[in-house]
Amino acid sequence: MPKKLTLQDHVAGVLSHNRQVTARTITMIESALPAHRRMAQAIINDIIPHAGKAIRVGISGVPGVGKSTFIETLGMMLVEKGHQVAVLAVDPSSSRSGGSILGDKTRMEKLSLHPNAFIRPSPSSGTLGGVAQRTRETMIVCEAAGYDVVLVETVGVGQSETAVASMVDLFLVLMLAGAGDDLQGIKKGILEIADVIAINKADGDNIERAQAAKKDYENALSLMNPETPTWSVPVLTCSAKTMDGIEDVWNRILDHRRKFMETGELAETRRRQDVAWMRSLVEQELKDRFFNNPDVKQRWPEMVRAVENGTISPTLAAEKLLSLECEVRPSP
Amino acid sequence: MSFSAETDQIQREIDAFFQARGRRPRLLIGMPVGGNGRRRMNEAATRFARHGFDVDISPAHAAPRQLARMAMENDVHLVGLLSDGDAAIELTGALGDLSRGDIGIIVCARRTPEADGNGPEIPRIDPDDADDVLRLLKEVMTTCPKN
Ligand SMILES: Nc1nc2c(ncn2[C@@H]2O[C@H](COP(=O)(O)OP(=O)(O)OP(=O)(O)O)[C@@H](O)[C@H]2O)c(=O)[nH]1
Ligand SMILES: [Mg+2]
Repeated sequence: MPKKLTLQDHVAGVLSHNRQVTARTITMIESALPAHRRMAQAIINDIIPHAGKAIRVGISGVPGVGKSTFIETLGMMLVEKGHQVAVLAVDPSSSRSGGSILGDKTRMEKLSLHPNAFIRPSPSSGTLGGVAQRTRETMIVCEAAGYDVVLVETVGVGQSETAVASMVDLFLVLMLAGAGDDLQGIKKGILEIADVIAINKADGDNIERAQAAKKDYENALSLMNPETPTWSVPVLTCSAKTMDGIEDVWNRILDHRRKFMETGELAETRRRQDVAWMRSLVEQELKDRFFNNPDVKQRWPEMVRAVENGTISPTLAAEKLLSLECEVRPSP
Repeated sequence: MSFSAETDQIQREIDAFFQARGRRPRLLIGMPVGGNGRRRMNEAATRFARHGFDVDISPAHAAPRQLARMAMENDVHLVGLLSDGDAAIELTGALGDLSRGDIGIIVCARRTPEADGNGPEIPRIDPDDADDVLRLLKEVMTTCPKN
């Protein structure tokens, strides 16, 4: 039976690359219990000096574009080069009553068994903020445990993409050729967030269409102002199935890293992300404190009814509730 | 018991588990080498997820040693096999080797008269049978370590 782990056990286990302890540390991070949250924060504080050395890559795209298959192929290529690869997922399908089905490993048959890989699908319950928070902390744990490449898979829906973009060094967007989609609509937002675009499933009789799509995207991109003179977003084609072009995608990722390190933009990005992280921690904590306040919990239903009945204005109700948790100072 | 009363009771057990452990009961459904039935695997996964479990699915044809690693890495409470036999015995050993003998093993299948004679070690849990699921939840609640 595994014994209960102390803070020291967690820290020593993670730093010595112990798979079992690393896994159980992530469980602490995922837990909703306040005691576990406190333990997780203490662990993070101790290990964070050992984190930060990994290449952090976000991978996004519409459902079925081949993200998991791509990670299997790229991941296998990387572990064979000697990398240690961690794979995480952000899937904030919030507020469902049932549990989650975590099928990621079924598409990562080889990688999930490789000694240099660690794949941890996380249940999607909870708010996007919460899920993003956990993923960020899990990434720190994986880095401290020696993983030097972290791949974060997320579904291609606006908000979770933005959340993942705020914790990675580079954002890779996978696309499909000729899905008949309008170039203007979905792609505008994606183009703004992507650092590398790869058109997947460029195999068999799909190759020509992938080439055509590549031209389309390049044209669309040429109309946009690059965010930095250091980088213009490359559009590549690849096949997660045949491995064609996967190496090229990886080389572009390395190229991006090299350039952003030289200019100092990588360090700057991470500093900005750290500040945003701190901010979201504070916001989350304030929210939790407010909604867990017993007085707030008690008065909440009554206030809801009063607002519904129109006996109190929403603004006054909010003010009354807030005053239960925080001292409301009279405005100057 | 009516169907919905049983469902409510499962819901309550899951909630109690969540309150006590900070997460839902997590189950890895595995298909060992030689097994067949990706469809049965997905069906069992869907049923358990509907009851409120978090369910991982293993790649097809994972050796017991590989299933054990996955169970440890995802830190599940239970591994569900589609049939008993050698795989279950080997899995018990493999989990023990990883110091995770606390992870429970179940067989996701209907109880049959013959199977009942096979000894009590590996419980058979039919995900369509609410009593079975309740029995499992109570068991997990008492045996799984708290962290
Ligand atoms: N022909 C071809 N098929 C592919 C390729 N990549 C993935 N597929 C197939 O596309 C389907 C979806 O692949 P996944 O890897 O599960 O896609 P995903 O983007 O992770 O999907 P979600 O996680 O559901 O969002 C599977 O049937 C894959 O076999 C590829 O490069 N070429
Ligand atoms: Mg996927």
